[in-house]
Amino acid sequence: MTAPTPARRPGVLTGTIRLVRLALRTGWPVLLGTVVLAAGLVTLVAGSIEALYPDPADRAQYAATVGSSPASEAFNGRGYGLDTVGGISAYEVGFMGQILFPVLALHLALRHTRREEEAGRTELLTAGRVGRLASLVAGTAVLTLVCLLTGAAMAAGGVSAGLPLAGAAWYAAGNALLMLFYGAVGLVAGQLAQSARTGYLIGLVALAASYLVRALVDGLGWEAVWASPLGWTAEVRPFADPRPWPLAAFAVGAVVLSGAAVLLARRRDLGAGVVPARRGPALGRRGLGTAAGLAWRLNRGVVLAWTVLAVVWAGVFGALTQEMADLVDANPAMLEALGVERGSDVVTSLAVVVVILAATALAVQGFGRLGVEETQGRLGAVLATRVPRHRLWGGWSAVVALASLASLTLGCLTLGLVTWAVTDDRDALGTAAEVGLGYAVPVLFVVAVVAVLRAVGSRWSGLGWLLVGWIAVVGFLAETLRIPDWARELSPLHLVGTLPQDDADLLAVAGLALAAVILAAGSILLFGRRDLAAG
Amino acid sequence: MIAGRGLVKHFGATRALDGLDLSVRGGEVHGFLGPNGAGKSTTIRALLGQLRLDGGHAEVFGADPWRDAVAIHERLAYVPGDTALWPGLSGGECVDLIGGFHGQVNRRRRDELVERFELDPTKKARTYSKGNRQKVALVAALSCEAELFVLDEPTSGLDPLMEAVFQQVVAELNGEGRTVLLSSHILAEVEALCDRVTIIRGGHTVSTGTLEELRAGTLTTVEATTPDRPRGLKDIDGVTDLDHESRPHGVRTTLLATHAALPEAVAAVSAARPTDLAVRPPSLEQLFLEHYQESPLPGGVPAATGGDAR
Repeated sequence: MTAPTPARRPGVLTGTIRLVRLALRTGWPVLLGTVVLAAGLVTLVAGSIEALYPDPADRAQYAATVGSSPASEAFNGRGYGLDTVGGISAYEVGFMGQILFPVLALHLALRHTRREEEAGRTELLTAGRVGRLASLVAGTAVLTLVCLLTGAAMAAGGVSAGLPLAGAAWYAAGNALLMLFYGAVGLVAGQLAQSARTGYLIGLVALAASYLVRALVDGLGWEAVWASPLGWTAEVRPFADPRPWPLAAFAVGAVVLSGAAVLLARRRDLGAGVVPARRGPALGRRGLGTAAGLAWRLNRGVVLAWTVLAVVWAGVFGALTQEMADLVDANPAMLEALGVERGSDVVTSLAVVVVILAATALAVQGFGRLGVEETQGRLGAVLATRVPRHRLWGGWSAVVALASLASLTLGCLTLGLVTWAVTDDRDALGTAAEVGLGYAVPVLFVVAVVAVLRAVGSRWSGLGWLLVGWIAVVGFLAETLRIPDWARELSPLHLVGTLPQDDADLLAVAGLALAAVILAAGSILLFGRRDLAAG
Repeated sequence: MIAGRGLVKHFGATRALDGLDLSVRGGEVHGFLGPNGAGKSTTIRALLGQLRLDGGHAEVFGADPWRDAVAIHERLAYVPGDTALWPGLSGGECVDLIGGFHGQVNRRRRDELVERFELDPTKKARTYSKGNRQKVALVAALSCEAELFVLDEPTSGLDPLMEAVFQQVVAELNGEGRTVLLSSHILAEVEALCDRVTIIRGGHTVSTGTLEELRAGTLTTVEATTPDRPRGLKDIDGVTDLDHESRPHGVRTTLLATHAALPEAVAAVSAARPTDLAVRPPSLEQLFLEHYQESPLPGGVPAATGGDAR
């Protein structure tokens, strides 16, 4: 960095240590949760792989089938040392890790910088003996500390699950630095955006772009692993022949990004971002003063973001179908190992799970927004008008449910159309449509569950993310983690079956539909009877 | 203590501060008034170094608020108009946390203020009402050993009893020689506490001075009933709206007089041996309304009024 280091200016860092202590004191549950979640995932996967593939022969079989399938490589990243337990573990953590670890770090970075500022607490504190950069530097310190702890816990967990010490250490270092890098992306996003929400959006768009670039590079086998930071993690090759350059790249990247955040922070006003707030319309659009209109106005950004993600995702994986399908189809052993009849089905089934994650995450966020409205007292203000509770609730729920279905539909259609275009197989569109139709009811069931959680009260609404997370875990790691059947069936997707490989279990679909209707009706009753949290 | 000259601050196309002047002398309670959106909070946050000024010159304790923010903050305490607290901490914890960041807290005064403001320090911040959150910020700031207190609408949400306590405490602190910059919409509070006031509108200063000086710039109403019509009133410079009305018992005269014309006007009326005489300075409300509304400025047109009552 060419800029003078902040320490040379007296005052701008004053109070940093105090702020770090405050952050640890008020934020420790989330910080601890981050460490446990990230290290726990790796430990569980490693322990499970150890039991699933105890013999070198099993592992060789794995390397020859799953490990060399370009569909899996596109999803998980490249695999190295797949003849070792560690190598398989790292490969299997792949998709989940590449999403989970950066998101955790992004959340941490924004939570401890922009969100505090947005809430007005930074204003209160920087009127005391606290320097201009103290808040950012304290956030960076907390982030670094958590990444270090996660790395240490991950290495320890890996060793306890039977991985070799050196490999586990390299692997943990790679993931800790990956987190630090995306945390630094979050720090910059927090300086650019005026609201934490926009900050998340910037960070998640950066992450999604990194992932899709990596998926293309790995799925098509291009020699361009440097193109996406998410590809660097695998290139550490911790369980084959460890190489330090990706670690250095992450560290340099994190330092450069944090430096950029500092430069931005030094110049800007407190409470402001670099991206100025845009002006809005002077008049409310017709229909804004209705339950559905309000729900749409407050959720349209989130709806748009998740839908675009689902569509782009489906498009990228649809475009990869040809290459992947050819390789899979040419290898009967692989078809059997993956449990499919056609290579393109592997891509479809993996891609659709992500589309569904987007559709259900949209629902959780949509109802989460209703919770924010309630705790901030704005919902109380709206309900103090002529709108009865059940109508507001019904309108909001309908908008969220329709938006979830819309993003599922658009995602599946995109997948089908792009697959059809690249493979010239007209059936691809029909298959994708069938899969979308088969999973529509499970998606609505998730919406209904989230609605009931919100109707009960704010305390339980976080459980919605748990359900979405579980769908992801069952969708991608059910075999890897040897999850028992009863636990798999907590995922409504699994109840219906793995589409398109299986036929949809119509009994399960009917049961889920009935449950969704009952839950939706129950949510209206529950919300009509309880106290509002504020306002 | 505070010296701001020609302060300018843009937010995109909006000119939030447009050549604003503000001067606060040591040991005074300075009222800072203006309609909503006039730039009061923007000015205060610029003086705290939380916003970077685009133009003009600002000094607090003789130092630059952007460059030497922390050195300045060591000597002042701040209460924002809308206080955000840490939802999971108790009120007492929040007070001590803010005090801890300030550095110099008078423990005795802290405990005394908790008592006087009737704050329950054991409740979690998320359960506080707006008034109680405001009390937390007030107790935290007012128990600091500061030379300058910067209070941005500090009593919004307080009940009248607490408002009275606030006025007492500020008067006591001022009695110890501490300076206060008080942004407020509560005119009774301003009248009770402030030695001088600055009124701003559209990002620039409209007037500044003591309340008496401000009143001097406005018109006083004189009403009298005299047996005969008073003479010579028409010829006095500064007498306007002169009106005579015949009544059964004499003549009812009403007029408006400037500060300068008042002695002569009253003398002329007295000479006519009034049976009834009322001299009314404008009420505080009238005074402020006059300053708030005077020649409405369409957004951002520069006006060369640097304080017409000085």
